[in-house]
Amino acid sequence: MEYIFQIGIFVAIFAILAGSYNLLIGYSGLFSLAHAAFFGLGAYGTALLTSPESDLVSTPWPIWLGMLVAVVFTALTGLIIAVPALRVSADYLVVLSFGFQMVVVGVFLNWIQITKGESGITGVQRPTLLGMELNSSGTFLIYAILLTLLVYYLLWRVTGTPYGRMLKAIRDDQIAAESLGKRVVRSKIEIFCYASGIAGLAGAMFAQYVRVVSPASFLLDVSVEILAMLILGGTANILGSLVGAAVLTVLPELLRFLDVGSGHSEQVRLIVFGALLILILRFRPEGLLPEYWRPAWLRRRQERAVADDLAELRQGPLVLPPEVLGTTAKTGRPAIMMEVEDAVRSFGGIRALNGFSTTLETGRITALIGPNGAGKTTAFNLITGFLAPDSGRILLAGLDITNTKPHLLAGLGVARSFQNLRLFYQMTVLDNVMVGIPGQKGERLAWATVAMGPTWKEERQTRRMALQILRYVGLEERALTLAENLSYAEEKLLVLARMLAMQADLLLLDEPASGLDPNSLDAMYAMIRQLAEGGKTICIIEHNLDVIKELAHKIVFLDEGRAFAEGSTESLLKNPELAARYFGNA
Amino acid sequence: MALLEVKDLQAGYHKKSVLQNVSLRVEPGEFVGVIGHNGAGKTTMVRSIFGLIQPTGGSIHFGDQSIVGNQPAENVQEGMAMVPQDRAVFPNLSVRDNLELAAFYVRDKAHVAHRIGEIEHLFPILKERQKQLAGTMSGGQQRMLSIGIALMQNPRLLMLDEPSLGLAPLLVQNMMEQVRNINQMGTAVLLIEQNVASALAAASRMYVMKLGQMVYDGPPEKLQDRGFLMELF
Repeated sequence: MEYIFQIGIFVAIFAILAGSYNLLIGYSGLFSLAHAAFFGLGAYGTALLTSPESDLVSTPWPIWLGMLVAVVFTALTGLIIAVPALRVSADYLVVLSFGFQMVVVGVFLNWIQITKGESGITGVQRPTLLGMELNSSGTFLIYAILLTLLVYYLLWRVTGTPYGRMLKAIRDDQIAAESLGKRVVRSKIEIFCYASGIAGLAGAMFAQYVRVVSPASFLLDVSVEILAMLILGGTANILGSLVGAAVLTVLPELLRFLDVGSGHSEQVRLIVFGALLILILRFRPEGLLPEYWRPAWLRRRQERAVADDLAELRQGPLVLPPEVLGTTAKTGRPAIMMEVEDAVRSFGGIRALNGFSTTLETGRITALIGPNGAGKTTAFNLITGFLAPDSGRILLAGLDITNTKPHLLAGLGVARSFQNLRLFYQMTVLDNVMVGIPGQKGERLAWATVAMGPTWKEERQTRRMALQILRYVGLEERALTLAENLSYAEEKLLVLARMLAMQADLLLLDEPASGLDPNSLDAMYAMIRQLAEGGKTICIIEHNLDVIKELAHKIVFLDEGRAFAEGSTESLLKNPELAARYFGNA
Repeated sequence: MALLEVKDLQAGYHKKSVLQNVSLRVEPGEFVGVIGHNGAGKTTMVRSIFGLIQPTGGSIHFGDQSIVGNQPAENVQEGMAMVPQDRAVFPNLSVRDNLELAAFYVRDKAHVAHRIGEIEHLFPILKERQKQLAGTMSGGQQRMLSIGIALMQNPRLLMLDEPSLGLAPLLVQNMMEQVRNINQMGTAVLLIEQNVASALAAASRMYVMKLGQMVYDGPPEKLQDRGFLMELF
């Protein structure tokens, strides 16, 4: 019996480790190798604060206080890697976390005064729950289960809320997430510390159970083991981590009973274990519980919620939500929404923009055209903060926004689409739109964790708004389809829907119509025209002359890095110089 | 004997059947256009012919050989080239390296240099930027490079999936002119297009595809009638 309790406790410990690691790897796309280090920091922290053998404190601290401090300390050490690593590309995180893992174990081994080196610290106290000291494995198991339930509740509060949706968006396409106004770097740092703290909690529990902490328990291969559990269980599926931890903790134990005799049983065990792992991943590469797997009852409930909302919306007019349309009164908005003054931008030897100037007027559609490579997308990148100009200014409603970061510009009402779409392909159509809606309190970690009721209420409103937008663009039937399964035309519509969700005043569309057939085009024309009439400022990069003729009030012809010509569609089409440079015999 | 003969092709993705008994043929040296609304199955058809998708039914013959089940590489060696819808270039190689790599199966290396020259004449920007990494070029420029890559292989059949996407009108005209030249020199062309006008101007025979089936097979002139065209769509 004792043996079974012990397995149960280890399942709990690894379930907590796998679940928190999944937050990083599965949900956020943050590939860190340091999870075992954080596990160890929590364990050592608890041991150093609460064991009578510890040389760090003269008298052991109360157990709960020691545990709490250890966990918080572990979370804060996460900042050491997170702050430098997450400002740059994801590749740096692998290397930095690897280094951190090594350094931490090195400290455990070598700071002998405090950590007692290889032999470790003994005498860690068991906690007392409801007046009962948890002396036996059986009683400790109850404690372990309670802690696991608590952790999984916390994990659920992160993943099943707008915060979790935002993490997945950042994972799927960081640049698109930034363009939607998400604070990418901050969120990554936050979640890294959160997950590390939880790993520290597992460490505390481990220390309390085993009562000894030594470096050997927290080596790199432990990180890899936990990784195997979460991959087996299913990345980006929290329940999957629980399953993976259970399977990979129990399975080796079951194989102990495989008696091969002649003293090779350990090796045979490992071979069988490895083979099973390979088989499972060969036939189920997404893991046992794929990302979008839900128990049937939950899936049905979600489908019903969407269906109910749609049924209600269908009784109303086919119109965008008022927040998206903004005020139709144009008095609130300036006549000129955006000005670009003499923007210059080079890439290496190539001068992409050489004194580009233009204005975008409220309520009008400007087409930005020009030969391939003329600098149109570069101009968009400057306006939306993805690139900084070498010189020149960009003004939004008179406000100088040169050098402002993309996520801040999104908050100021600037929305853009990308030539290569940048949809969140691992997320549903509905999630793609919902993540675009600004001002969601549920996207703040603290709020998502504690304010359950208000988050659900806000989520219902967000969902209705998103469905209304989807209905407007004609995608409501595909709300629960994964974006990767859409046809090309549907993808283009989703791009538009996601942009609309941002409730922006200035819409910058990069080739919105390319690849669409006449029917889809007509629908898009109508929508874009309606948006302009409603007071939005729209700028389109396009090559399709039909689109330009249909929509543009004004054309800006970009060539040689500047606004070579500007004027009405008819006048530019008749211009012989432009025909030679761009239009051909249109 | 037709160069490409597709009969009763069925294919799809994720248990969803997109093509319902599609038949199409391209004679040696012919210029065939295929138009149709989004989701009609044009790209699915081309990808099935090329070997990127396994059909679930029907037959495809290239020359006298059945090519169902072939890998794309085998089809390329037989003389089929495809310019896909996304700009398929090697982003971390230079423009020139991309073109040279495309001629991997071409035996005559002197001919390769000559061919690169021809393609640079067609798309001067590729000569101008020959040392630039393909991934750093603009979208339209990458499209030009991917067409160049297909042409490097001197194919018997050139298949283009919406090549005008993202190209300036002048460039579309130039490109279509060059594709017509290539066709006149003997390469058969199968052109999928949304830009109906340029397809009708270039092709000698047109197909119209709708909901996974061919609903028209005949001369382009009839499709100039917008009413008739809309009906088919």
